Amino acid sequence: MVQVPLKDYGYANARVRAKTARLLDAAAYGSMIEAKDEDEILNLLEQTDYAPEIEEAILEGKRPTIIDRAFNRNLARNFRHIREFVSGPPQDLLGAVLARWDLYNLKSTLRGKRGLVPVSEISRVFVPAGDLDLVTLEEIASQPDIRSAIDLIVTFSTTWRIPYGRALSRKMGEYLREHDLSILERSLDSFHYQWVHGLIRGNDVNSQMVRKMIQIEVDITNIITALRTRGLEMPQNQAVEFYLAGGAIGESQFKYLMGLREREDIMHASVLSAYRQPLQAGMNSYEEKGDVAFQDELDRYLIRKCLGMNKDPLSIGVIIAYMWRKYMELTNLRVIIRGKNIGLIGSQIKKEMIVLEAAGV
Amino acid sequence: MEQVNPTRSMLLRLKSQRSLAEQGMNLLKKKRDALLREFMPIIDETLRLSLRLERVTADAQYELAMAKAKDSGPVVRSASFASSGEALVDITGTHVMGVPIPVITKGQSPLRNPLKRGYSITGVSTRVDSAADRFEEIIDVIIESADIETRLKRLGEELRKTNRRVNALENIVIPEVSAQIRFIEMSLEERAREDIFRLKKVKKTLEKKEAKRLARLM
Repeated sequence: MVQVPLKDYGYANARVRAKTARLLDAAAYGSMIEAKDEDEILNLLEQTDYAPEIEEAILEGKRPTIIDRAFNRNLARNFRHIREFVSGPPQDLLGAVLARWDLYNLKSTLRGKRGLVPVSEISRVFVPAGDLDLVTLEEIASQPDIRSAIDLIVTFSTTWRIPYGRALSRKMGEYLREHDLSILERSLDSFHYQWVHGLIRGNDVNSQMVRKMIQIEVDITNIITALRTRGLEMPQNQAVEFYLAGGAIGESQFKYLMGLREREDIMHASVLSAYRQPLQAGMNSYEEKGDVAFQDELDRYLIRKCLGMNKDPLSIGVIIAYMWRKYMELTNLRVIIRGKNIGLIGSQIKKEMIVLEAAGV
Repeated sequence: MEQVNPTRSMLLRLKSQRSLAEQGMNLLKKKRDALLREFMPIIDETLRLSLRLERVTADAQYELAMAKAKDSGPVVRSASFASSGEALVDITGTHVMGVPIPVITKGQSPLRNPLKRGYSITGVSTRVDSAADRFEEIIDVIIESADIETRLKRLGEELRKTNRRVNALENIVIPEVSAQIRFIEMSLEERAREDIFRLKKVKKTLEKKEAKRLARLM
């Protein structure tokens, strides 16, 4: 039996490149934009990698929400599949990258429990692309109340890659006093990025790539937080509660950004010089889209940076680039379907799609 | 026309009725004018609000569709679990020209800042927040519309009622009473003419009798 070398990226990247080749190209998007209705788009998707999930969705009904869930199932299936291509340190790095989905799933569970949402409804929003599988997540979601769900997370998470229970225990008292779920969410966010950074301490090129990606992600969150909270009267000690560590923006720089009242001041802050180009692009479409323009442009910037990581064929960069291509593909498909659903014309749909030259779409 | 007794007392009663009806009609016309003066700006305001509601709803639908497209429907749904809330309204009352009108005001503004939506802003995109902003604006406009539309509805009903009353007085009651008055006056005039004729006849007969008596004496 031939031993497949799972501890480096050679084999995995070959498989991932094959997956990349199966991603939709510009012509496929063109046909979908030209499609006369959603049925025609679904017919086109049935001939792609999305076939199993789309067939399942068609049985449930063809509503955009069901198709969204099908896309998320496809994303989870593909990302979990990639994890099987590697073992050892590469798998740990990949786990750190995919942990964002665990964070999202746990937050969704807490939100659902807080809002007294039925378990079946909470279960529909899960994207089990990280370490936590659907069974574990549903077990947490089926607890009678948020307190029991947190207790279970605390118990279960002792064996997880990221022990999220600690973040929740740490802020439980404050949550019980204030009854504000955002306290727990902020604690989870902050703990997540600190822990992920701990997981990627290595100085090898792969760890550096993952670190770079996480750093941009964290910076973008901090920039967006400063932009969204500008104009709100907030004491500096409260402002720092929104700070996420792990990016290029330090805590004192973040405090400075949070103290700025005007959009232009934030945009031109010297600490954000690395993000000048996406911020300027966001400013150009601010009149039309408002603050969403900055989010769109910064997201594009992150994707562009991650797609650029695939230069070294024997690094995790190939996998990271694939993941973001896949993410971008799903976003574009959703834009097309939702756009058609609300009656947008082709040119309007194209304007909302993520089009990057590096991605070839 | 209703049959009436062509008597002088009836004439007096009808004349007093007509004068009362005319007075009432004038009062109602004044009320109608006052209501119209209140009503017209409310129509403008209602039109303005309904246009605003239409625009805000269209924007909200677009923002929601884009949030669902770019962040995915389940992610938006997840954020919505955390941000459930209630819109509080205060309902009091006032009177416009004697018409009781409920006054609906926002108990607490439905427009929340991004830190008050239940979720942490570090975990939810600007697109989701922007859609939430728009939908909160819809609630805000709906509350304003509820107040102004209730006012419009109540004043409209009162205006219609007043108009109907003015028309009834002007076109039915007053003309009918006037016709009855004319009928009685004509009847009374006729009766007076008959009386004069009869009295003249009696006078002539008496004068003839007197002439005959004088002739016999001579």
